[in-house]
This record gives sequence, C-alpha cells and structure tokens, in this order.
Amino acid sequence: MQARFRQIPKRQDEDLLRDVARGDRRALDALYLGYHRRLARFLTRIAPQYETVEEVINDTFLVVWQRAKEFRGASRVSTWIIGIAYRIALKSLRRNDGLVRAQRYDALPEPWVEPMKDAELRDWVAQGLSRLPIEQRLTLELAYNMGHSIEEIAEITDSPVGTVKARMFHAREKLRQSLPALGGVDASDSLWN
Amino acid sequence: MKQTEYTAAEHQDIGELLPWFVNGRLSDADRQRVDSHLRLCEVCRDELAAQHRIYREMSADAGVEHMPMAGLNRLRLRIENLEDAGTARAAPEEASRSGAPAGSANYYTVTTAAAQPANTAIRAVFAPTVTLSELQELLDDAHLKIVSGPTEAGVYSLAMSASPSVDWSLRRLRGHETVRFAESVVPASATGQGQ
Repeated sequence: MQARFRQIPKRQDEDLLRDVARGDRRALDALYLGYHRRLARFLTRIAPQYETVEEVINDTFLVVWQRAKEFRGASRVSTWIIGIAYRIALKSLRRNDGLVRAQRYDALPEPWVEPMKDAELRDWVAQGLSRLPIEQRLTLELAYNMGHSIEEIAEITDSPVGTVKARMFHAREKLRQSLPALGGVDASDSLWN
Repeated sequence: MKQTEYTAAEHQDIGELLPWFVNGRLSDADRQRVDSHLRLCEVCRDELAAQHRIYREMSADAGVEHMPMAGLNRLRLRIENLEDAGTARAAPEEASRSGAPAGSANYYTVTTAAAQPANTAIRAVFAPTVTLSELQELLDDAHLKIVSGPTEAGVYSLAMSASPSVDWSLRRLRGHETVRFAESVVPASATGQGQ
C-alpha cells in the first residue's frame, strides 16, 4: 500500500524555504499552493468549519514566512510545516472545546450488530473519532488520513515515538469500544491480552 | 527452522506497528516482521482487518472543495499589513519549534490587528484588468473611497464614504466580479480568537 500523498522532493522544498527566508514571496506562494490541499484535507476532518480550516492554513504559512530563517534542516520541510499546522490546529481545537465533538455517547443509537454498509460504518467511525481526546485523534489522522510514518508523527507532534504508539494504541482501543461491529476482534478480546 | 510461536512481547510490539503496516509507512525490516507474525497470529490478522476498514473510511475524500488562491490572497494581505507595521518578520510565540526563544516577539495571526492607514475600513484587491472608471464606479456603489494604494501587491486601503456599515460595503464590493479580495480591518479582540 502506498502513502496517501506524494512526497514532495526534499531538495525542492528546502530550496523554496530558503528563498522564503530571503523574503521571496513567490517562493512562499509556491509552498502555500503546494501544501494547501494536503493541509485542507487533514484539517477539514478535525475542524469541518471552512473558515477554521482556512485560518489555520493561513496562520501556518504566516509562521512559515516569519520563521523560515530558523529552519535548520533537522527534519523534512514537510514535517516542519505540518508540525506548525498541528500546533496551531491543536490550539484552535482546545480553544473551541467540543468543536468537532458529536453528541454524547448515550445519545447515539444502539451499536450495530450486523455487517455494516459503508455509509453506516463511515458514520460510526466519524462519531467514534469525535469522542477521542484531541491528541489521539490527531495521531490517528496523521497516520490514516495523511499517511505519515511513526517517526514523522513523532516529529510533527514533538513527542517520543513511544508516546505516538501509545496514543495510537489508546485511540484504537477506544474506537474498538465504540465500534463493536467493526469486524474480527470481539470487544472483550484485547489484542494485548 | 520455521517459527511456530511468538512471545507476548513480540505480539504487543507487532500490534503497535499495525496502523503503519496499514498505511504503508513501515520500514522493510518492520514490514517483514509484521508479515511473519501475521502468518501465526489470528488476533493480529483480525485487528489488521479492522484497521484496514477504519483506514479506508478515514482516507476517503471529504469532498470539500477549497480555494487556495482566496486563502493565499488573504495571506498576502496579512503580510502586507504586518510589513506596513514593520512586524512581518517578528518571531511567533510557539508555533515553530526552532528552539529560538520567543522573548517578547509578537506572533500575528488572522485574529491579530495590524496597523492601518487612518480611516481604513476595508482592504481590497481588484482584478488587474479593472479600469479606473470601473474602479470608481464600484467604489461609488459600495460608498467607499481610496485612502491609499495600490501597494506593490495591488492592495487598496478603503475608507467609508457615507456607507451605512462596513459589512454593507463589503457585501457591495464582493458582489462585483472584479473584486478579487475584500476584508474588513477588524481588531483582534473583535474576533474572540486571539492568541
């Protein structure tokens, strides 16, 4: 299986960022346009409001403009930019607590016990995701929606690899509890038992 | 010798890697380890199937169309505004992880006010093809007058001229095809989303 997004060549990104650091607005435009769809896709899933998504992207590239000189190449440019977007989004989500949360769990319909149709599964996944703590949700989105590796997520979230794995583990456990008909594993049968 | 059993530690270790087996981002070595374990472990195979279904749902296109040029124009305008105020290169507080101390530097976001020319109510960008007479006509229609501009980026600062409200003028402006961008000059405190 392939990663979801084409990896922009490191050299090209670094060249653009270096030009941004020199004050080249056309280079900033190129970076912005190169990353907009990718960031919008990620952010739309966690903050469906169009304005919020656009604001986070806008804030992200303002920071890129302001901080480009300080990029030292310790990570990929893409990881650096998505890390900035992650922190801005996290801050926005915390400020607007409940922004993407669905209704309370007890307001949800009874768990589905038959094989699910796609639309039903999609609804259940969306509602299960909405009940996850923000950091766990974002870890899952970075892996499944953005196609990032463990190491990249660790860089983006500024967390140890072990923390990334733990967040993913807890996210999966919580999803399993809210999606009992997801398939295969009985809810009482833990993978780690 | 063919392996027929696995340890609990190996089971847990492999289990933690399954999401990245699903999204295709494991190293070759880890992928081979997971492959080998899956041949022996039914629990992990079931978990893998479940994760594949979640992955498929989460990676489905949300179907939302975004317009990058509109956002880019807003970004350009913000940078213009900040540079007018001499702060476009001020260091953000925290969003970048460069290790540089934030100090007393300012981090401007969409919700942060920038210095504006006196009386400026709206900043706008018009199509490069707009003629002077067309520009004057649409400004009259929106009850606005030019305070300054255009800047190098084509940004005009506009003040109200017998307009009932900024919102009213914005609506009039945005109704014209030649208006590429129009934004109210709003203090950060008015948005409720300051830093």
